[in-house]
Amino acid sequence: MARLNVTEVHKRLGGNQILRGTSFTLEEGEIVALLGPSGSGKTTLLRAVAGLDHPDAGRIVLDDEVLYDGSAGIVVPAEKRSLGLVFQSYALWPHKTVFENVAYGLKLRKVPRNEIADRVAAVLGQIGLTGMADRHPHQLSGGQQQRVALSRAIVYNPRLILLDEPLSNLDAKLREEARVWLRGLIQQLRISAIMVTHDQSEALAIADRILLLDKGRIEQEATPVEIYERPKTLFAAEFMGANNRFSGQVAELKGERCRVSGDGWELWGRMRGDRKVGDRAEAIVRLEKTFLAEGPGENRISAKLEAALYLGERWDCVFQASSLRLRLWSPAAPADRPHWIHVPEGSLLVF
Amino acid sequence: MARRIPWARLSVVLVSAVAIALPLVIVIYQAFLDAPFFQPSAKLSLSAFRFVFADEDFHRAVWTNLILAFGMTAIAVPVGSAMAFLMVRTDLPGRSWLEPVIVIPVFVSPMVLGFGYIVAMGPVGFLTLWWQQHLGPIPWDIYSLKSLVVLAGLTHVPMVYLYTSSALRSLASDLEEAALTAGAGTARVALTISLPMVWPAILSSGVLTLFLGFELFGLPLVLGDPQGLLVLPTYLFKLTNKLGVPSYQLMAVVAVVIIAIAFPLVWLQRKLMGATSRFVSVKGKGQASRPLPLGRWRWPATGLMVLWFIPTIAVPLAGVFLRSVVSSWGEGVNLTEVLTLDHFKELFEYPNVVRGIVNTIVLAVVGGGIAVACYAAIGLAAHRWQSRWAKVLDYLVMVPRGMPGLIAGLAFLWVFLFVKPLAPLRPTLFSLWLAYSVVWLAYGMRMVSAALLQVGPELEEAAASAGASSGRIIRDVTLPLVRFGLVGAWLLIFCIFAREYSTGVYLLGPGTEVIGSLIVSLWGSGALDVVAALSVVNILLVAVGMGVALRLGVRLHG
Amino acid sequence: MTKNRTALLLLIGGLCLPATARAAGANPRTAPAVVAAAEKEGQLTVYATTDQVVAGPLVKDFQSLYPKVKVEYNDMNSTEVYNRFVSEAAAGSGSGDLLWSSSMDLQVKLAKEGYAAEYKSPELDQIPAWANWKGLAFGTTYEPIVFVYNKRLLKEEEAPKSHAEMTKLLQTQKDRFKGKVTAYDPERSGVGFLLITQDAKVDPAFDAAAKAYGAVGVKLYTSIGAMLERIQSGEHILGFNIFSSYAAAKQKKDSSLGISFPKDYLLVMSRVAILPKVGKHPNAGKLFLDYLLSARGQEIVAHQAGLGSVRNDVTGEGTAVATNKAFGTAVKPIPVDESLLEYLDQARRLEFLNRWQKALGTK
Repeated sequence: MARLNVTEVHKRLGGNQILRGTSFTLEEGEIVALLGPSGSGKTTLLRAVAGLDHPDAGRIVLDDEVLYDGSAGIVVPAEKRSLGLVFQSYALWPHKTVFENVAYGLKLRKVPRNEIADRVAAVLGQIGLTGMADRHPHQLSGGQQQRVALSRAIVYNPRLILLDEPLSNLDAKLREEARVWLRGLIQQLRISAIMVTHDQSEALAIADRILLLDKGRIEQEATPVEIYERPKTLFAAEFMGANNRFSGQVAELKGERCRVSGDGWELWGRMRGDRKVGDRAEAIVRLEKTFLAEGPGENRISAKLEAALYLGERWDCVFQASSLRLRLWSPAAPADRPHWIHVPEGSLLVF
Repeated sequence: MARRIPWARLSVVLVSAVAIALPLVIVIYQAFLDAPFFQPSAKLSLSAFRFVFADEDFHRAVWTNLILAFGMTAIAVPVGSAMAFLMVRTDLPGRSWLEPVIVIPVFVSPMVLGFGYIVAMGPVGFLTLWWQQHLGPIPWDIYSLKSLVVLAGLTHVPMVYLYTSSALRSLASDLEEAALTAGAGTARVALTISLPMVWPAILSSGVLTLFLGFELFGLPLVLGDPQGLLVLPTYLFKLTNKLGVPSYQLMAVVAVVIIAIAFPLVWLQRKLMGATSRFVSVKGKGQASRPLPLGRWRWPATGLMVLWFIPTIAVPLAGVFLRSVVSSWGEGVNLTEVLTLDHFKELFEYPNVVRGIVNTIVLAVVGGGIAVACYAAIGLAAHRWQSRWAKVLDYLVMVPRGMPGLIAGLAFLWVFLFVKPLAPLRPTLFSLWLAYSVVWLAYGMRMVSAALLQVGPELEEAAASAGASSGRIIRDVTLPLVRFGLVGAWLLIFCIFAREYSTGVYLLGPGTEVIGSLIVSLWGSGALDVVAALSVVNILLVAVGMGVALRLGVRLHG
Repeated sequence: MTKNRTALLLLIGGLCLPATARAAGANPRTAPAVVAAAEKEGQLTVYATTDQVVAGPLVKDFQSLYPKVKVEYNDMNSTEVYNRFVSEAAAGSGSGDLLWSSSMDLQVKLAKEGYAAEYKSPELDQIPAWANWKGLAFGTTYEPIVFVYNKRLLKEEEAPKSHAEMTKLLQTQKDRFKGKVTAYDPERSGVGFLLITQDAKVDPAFDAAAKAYGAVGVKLYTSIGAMLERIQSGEHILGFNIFSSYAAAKQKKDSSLGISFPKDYLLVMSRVAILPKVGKHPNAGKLFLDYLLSARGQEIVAHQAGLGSVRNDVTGEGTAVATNKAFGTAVKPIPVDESLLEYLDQARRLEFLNRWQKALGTK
């Protein structure tokens, strides 16, 4: 049974249409990432679910309870939705200790005092903050604050937890550890979660399913693997990963196979859109699927090395091929001589 | 939520609207009558407007007032913003103790200041005599319009300072450091980066000063008296007698004129304040701001502060203190021979003065606390309220700013006389409290809403999603977070209530005497030595309040 | 002035000794029925322009005579007395039981407009006719209007002894007195207006005097306090149209003030009491009025409050009897009657102000 059902949600703020009929569902125990560039409406969508922003139209249903229904005039206030929300800034109350921060939701639910103590201790233990209960938020590191914020959101067993850019305030190394830990924790608690992020690697790592948003619409909804490997639109293809892009014309079409040509190049790829022969088309290939080759051949372009940056585990190389500028990753520094760049046919996505 | 009617908020709007509108409506209604509104013979008429607009004194008052308002703004804005920059963004020596000093003029009654100026710098003032003895002819005439403009400008520096400094405080110091590294000197950073960034705040403080220039009463009353200098509020005062019988309709017309000038300015100031938040992109997010080094500007900068301090604070206060301990002064008087403490002893002969001191303390401490509680209620009602009622409330609280205290006092007398359910409260401190609270509403709201704005919205949203109702959020999150701000507001309101003078004049009676109004009334009957002693008591009272405030670490800025 | 020294001693005595220990004039002759009714009312509200400290001995003595009538004494300025009274009367919420104001014209105006209750006080037989208007408004004090000067800057023998001398002094020593002469501003002060119109009425050389004032740039104030303070300090040397009562009180504290009674004509003003019809304690009002006009009350008015006795049978310094003896026909009491209302007419008033300003040369 679908736990959360968001249907045709619209929201206008000032002169801007932030959400244009967005719909999605969230299954029990699933982690969904709302991914998109800034201004795509992902945070607004999250706040609409949380009850902090009210949409202009649409319907939001959790289990069988209607949280919002624009046409029926139903709006359940945020405090009645029983959701857990983790803010990007953590929003820990500075005048309360860690214990008081976490215990607050339980206190509101009139849980007996000793049970509160037990449950807070348990969740703090689970999250690795034992012994920190009496500190104030400003006495904690960023990572610890983040975990307190999470504890505060999960301690009263919310039906759903909402995470707004939960990892963006952590430094790079901590963030990678936190991904593993966060996904593990949510799975262990068996609750459903919606996470807003603009960081695709975060979404890919943590989520079961990704909703890619652009300009208030869902561009694609798929598992991490699918969305990365089989993007449905040019936007989805370009937003995910680091890419080379070829702008040209469809020269030949054989079922899914197609040949795209441009100024001094010609490549075979897979047609993902609905272009016909003669149409303008964009071809995308991930950097990790772009290779150096020894000599000319099919799906190869002759190119000159412009620059090579050493990144430790690999070299990031920039080539000039007639009017194109192409990047690729190479395990070793390329020699200073003419090169050919190979794009495997199956990896070139044409839109 | 969107469709639930927010009764609590609406009732706050309603109550404040009534408290604000009642006196205002009476005044405006009175302006359009040809006799006191309570006389059965009163008819609707424009005769009062015709009389005032044809009166030469009115033209003179408008003209003088324009010069005064613009002149003092031209002085207060550059000095105030320069001082704000020096205090907030540089390593000026002695910053920590300078701040309370800078705001002193806000908390001392202008009547007292004006009196102090006469004793010190008047034609036979002690400073004047000393100057004439050692330096030759004095370059000032304390009673001239020029002096009035300069002194009004200098005493309004704190207003500009308060607005500009709080804007500067929320400016991230990396913006300045970027300019510093690019090779700009501190003065250049100030002129090209810091001050332009807070330009809307400076501009809005300028508009505020301009507006205050139209309701300035105490200084022109005291200093303008001998030359017959008239500004609108003192013209209004003059109208009390011009026709032999107090002509309420004429006074009301002048009040309406002042309100008509004030309101657009208030509106403009609101707009500009709104622009400030857009301009200052960086919200003070725990970012420690590092002071800019003044280097060789250190001493000239200190000099500027001293140059402002001496004429604005040291001289008038010294004048008042001196007057309170001598029986005579002026040309040919050896001050050491006339020293006396009799005036203070005499204070206690006046039973109403003793009551007045007690009442002032009660009104300032308890009344100030209740007033801040009311301001907080209004602030919370408008807090995060997406409704046009919030906007209405926003403007509503600015309305009383447009009414000079004297008129507001008279209007409140009428309210307490003619609104029958309130009548029994008139001879109590409640009447004064209500008048004070309404007159200072805008000021108090500024402090309260500044405190409320410091609370990040997500702190409240976090509580909402944890399951707290709006009431709980206010109790558990918002109020605890603003409590220092509210205590600070309380102390500042304490100081203001302790010094307020014009509002209480008409509500003065046994049981409702307060120091400020007693000073006005004793001023009239000639007991100026008692006035001086009472002023000293008043200043000490305010000083104690300020001292406690600073002890508790209250920040004077919003 | 010895008169004032005596008054000071008496004032100090009055503050220290219980009221009964003093020799007092005859007690008020209020009808027993009124006394009984007043005592039943038990309370009395006075609105007055006389400072509480000055009126203190009166209130105290009254209280000792009638301990059952509690006096609530409010002092405020004359405009406030008027404003408050008419507002309260219109609101029907009760007001003062006795209004006692130095603004003679406003008091008579209130009486004429029917706000005052008529009362045939048994004390009226000793009150001069000019101080009793139709049993509605009563002059209660006797306060000569004098010149005040700074003794450090103007020797006693130099001080003008008459209005004519004043004019002459200013004309002959224009530079010395430039900006150094002060008076009430008739435009901004009701009392100032009253006095200057009386000058105009009594003094045939008024226009010349006004011209002399104008020539030295007379400084006009709204408050007696500001005027006396500036004469004390030497900012001004000389002031005219000043109540002797205020000046004398000030002189007790600061001997640098000199007082001169003009001999050609001596204006005398009197604080006017009325009994408002709307007062809630009418009998208590009558009781206080009788007391105020009685020999006992007037002794205190003259010798302790320093306001001058208006009665024909109270003698000593600062009484009508003594002043009349010293100045004879030069004494010109301002009568409590309808003539005071002449200038409450808007057009007449503005016309006079115009004349005054023209004479001063400021217009």
